[in-house]
Amino acid sequence: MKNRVLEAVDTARSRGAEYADARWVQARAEELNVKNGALAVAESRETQGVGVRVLKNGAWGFASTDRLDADSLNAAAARAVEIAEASARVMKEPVQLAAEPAAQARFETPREVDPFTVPRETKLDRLYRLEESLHVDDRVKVAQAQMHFDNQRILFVSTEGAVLEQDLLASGGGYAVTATDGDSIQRRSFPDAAGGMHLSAGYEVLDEYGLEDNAARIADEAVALLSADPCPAGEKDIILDWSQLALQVHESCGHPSELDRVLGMEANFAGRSFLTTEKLGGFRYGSDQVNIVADNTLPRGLATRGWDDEGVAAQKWHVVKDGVFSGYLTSRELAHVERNTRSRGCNRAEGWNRIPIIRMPNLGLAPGAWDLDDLIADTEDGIWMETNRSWSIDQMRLNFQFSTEIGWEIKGGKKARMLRDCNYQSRTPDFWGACDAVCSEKWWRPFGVMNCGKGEPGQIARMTHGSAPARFRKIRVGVSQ
Amino acid sequence: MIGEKEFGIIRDRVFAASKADDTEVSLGGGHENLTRFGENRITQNVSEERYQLRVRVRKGRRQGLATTNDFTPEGLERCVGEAEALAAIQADSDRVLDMAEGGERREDGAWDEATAAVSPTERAAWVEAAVETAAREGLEVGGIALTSEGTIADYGEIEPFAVANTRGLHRFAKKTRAIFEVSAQKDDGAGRSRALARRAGDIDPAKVAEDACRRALESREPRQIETKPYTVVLEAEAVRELLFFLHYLGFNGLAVAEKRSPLHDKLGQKVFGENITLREDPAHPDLFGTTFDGEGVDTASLSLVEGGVLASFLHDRLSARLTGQTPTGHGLSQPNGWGAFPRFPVLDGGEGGLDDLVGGLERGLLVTRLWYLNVVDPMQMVVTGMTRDGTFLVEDGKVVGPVKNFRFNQSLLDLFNQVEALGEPVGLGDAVLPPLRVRDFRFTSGTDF
Repeated sequence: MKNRVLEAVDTARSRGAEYADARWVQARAEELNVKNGALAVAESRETQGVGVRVLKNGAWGFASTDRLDADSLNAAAARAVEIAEASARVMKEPVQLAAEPAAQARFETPREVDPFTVPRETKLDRLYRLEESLHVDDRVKVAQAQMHFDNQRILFVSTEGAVLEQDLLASGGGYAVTATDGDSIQRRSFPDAAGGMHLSAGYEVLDEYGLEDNAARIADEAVALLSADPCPAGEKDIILDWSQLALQVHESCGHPSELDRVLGMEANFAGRSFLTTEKLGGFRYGSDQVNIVADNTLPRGLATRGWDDEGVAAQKWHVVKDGVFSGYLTSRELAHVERNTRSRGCNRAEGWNRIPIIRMPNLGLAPGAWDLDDLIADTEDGIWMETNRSWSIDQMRLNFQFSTEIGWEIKGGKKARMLRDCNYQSRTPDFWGACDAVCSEKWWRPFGVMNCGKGEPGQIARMTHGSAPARFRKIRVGVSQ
Repeated sequence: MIGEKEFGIIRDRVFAASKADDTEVSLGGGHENLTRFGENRITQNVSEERYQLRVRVRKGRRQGLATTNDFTPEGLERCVGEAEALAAIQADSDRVLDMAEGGERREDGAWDEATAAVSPTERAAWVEAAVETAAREGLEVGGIALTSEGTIADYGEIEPFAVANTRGLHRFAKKTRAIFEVSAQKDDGAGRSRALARRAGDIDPAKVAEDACRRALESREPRQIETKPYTVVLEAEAVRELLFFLHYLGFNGLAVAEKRSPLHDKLGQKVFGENITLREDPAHPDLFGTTFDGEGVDTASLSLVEGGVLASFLHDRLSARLTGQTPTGHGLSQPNGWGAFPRFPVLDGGEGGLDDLVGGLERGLLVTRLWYLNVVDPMQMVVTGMTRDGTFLVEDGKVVGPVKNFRFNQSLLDLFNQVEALGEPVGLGDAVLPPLRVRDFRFTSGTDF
């Protein structure tokens, strides 16, 4: 395969491309989902192909194929050149790529247990038992437990001499319970919503979440929520858990700091961003407590890898430092916009058939100094909100509204009654400006997003958002009532 | 593009390799070309040919699924083996049904040779037309020019264009489509326009660009007005966003079977205003989806709501079995946890146009588009979301100027009981929907633009 993809970039160069790269990707995945006592999904997926990206006359062309003989790859390279020639008809300035050393190296996700070697019977037996343990009450109408594993093998070559091999692995799972009494529907998930929690690691992660230990509690909470009091309407201090903070960081910091969005390249689909270029380095994004760090070297991070899909090595940097907006997410094409000579290494593609676009790295809220017990004790009138249920944000990433699966009222420094239908709404800089406390390293946990959609044609990407619980003062809650 | 003959070879190899009681092969994908632009320049320009073969096997009351894009004899045998191995290790389930029967049928009415052959240069010419239109007024445009053959959907997901099983069912569809979308921006004004057609020749790129640019110019310098419920005129594009959630939360047969739909026990009851008739119409001339579902079941023409009365739900074979109903041909490929979705949605309308709806509005808002909707309360069908790309204040039947965008939290159960008037339905390519005038649309907060 290496010789064939090298030949493909040579074909592009011989047809006049100033630059070309080719990526071979072989991906496989396994998905098991037990729902209401039966195996609802038992799926094994595999796909492989090659995508060729070229610059000719300063403009991009990309073509992909799942036919892997040399003729098909060379034809894809030729098609990419033809497409680039068409792109050059509607351009402003020729694309200039920020320099990056052309490496020849290999990266592999560290793993203890390859999930594809674990017998499916073992996995299924565990899922059947987990799912059965969730049926604690006849008001539980749907219970499901699931596991997901996927592996990508990538070979990247470029006309600059890069030859990079990566073997990436993600593993995870969890369960969810839906209870209804006819008037209300309540849902609890563990360890996270949207299919559970995933990390770049092996099967061993599923022994670290405490899946069995928490099943009864989660199912009981789903039922108890049916008779819980609703989230009050008004202004409250809120403390967000890891799951909710992960999505909060994702939607209100990650997406607006994508430089392609800022420049209008996503305007037709996902929208633009309020973090316009004049704000870099001076805009007060949040309080002094707020440090948001991008880190594609994070152990077990879902975006952790050796290089992005244009051969840029993984890096770590501040997007928000001491509350000030400090850095974008960039590619080789756009690095110059933030006056950087090097890309931050954020250009990733969903698979062999997609062109890399700027995607969120692992992006986390850095730990503060608080112990969680002290933070709750310090909160007079607040709500602890846990596990994301729903999210929505405007196309400039300012006005957002989030819901969580469960909440707990905090009165006089103590966790009090359970609350259902918790939600809050705010404006991004106001919200992060109201952050007055972040818990310490001891409380920091990596949560992730497995299904971030962006781009046209659409692409799915994954990334980890680590955080420790944090408090936000006087936030509008109960907004849907 | 893989044709029916090649699909037949794949099918026969899979069937020969399988030792299951039932075996199903479904093939999706195709050839998609997409030219993307922003900042008045082409920013991405891609072409892909991609297929996904799904092999599903049933042994007794067990089933397994494997997918591949390796169509060599060895690759197909490996795929069958994976599916059989997954089926072998599970417990019996009464949710695993015998596969569908249905004979042979093929359709090619939504295929256009010229659309399949559109070149990158032709798509660039569409973009040039948009950029030239925008540049005349100093606007910036972005968008997509897409031409495709097959069934790669908007977000990269693959729907089947061919389904066959060992019970003799065989379906094959040839499809093309073309999309041109333009989002225009001028200062703080934004507008968007979209054309979707089965034939590229039916798209007028200059008109699409002009519509988006006009709306962007009209929506400049929006003013902030009080956040409160307003009577709104919703353009058809906005109605489409709301209707998706109505289908998903209310009419999905799986949600009905699991009693998650607030409508699950209301068949035959009046649930919406008498002016609401919601249908599925596979024969509608303005709609060109595939007329069979993920299991190859033909999509039925039916009424979901007739004069406000709940008439039926959307079912795949599983939810039909669970509820004692008949499959309607709205399922996805099996197995899945999602249920059934609309394929040819039609909301009956009135006779007037958008101007007539606005003309009958004493004070309220004209909403052109909604954005980022999500469910807040599934039982009350409350959804939240934002307005986008042009929201306008209407007074005494006339648009008086743009306003800043709002967030809403709106119950769909309430909304479809508060429709004052319906305009003439508009063909959007994937739905036929009228603009609506709706009382007390519940806005709950605003934003900066």
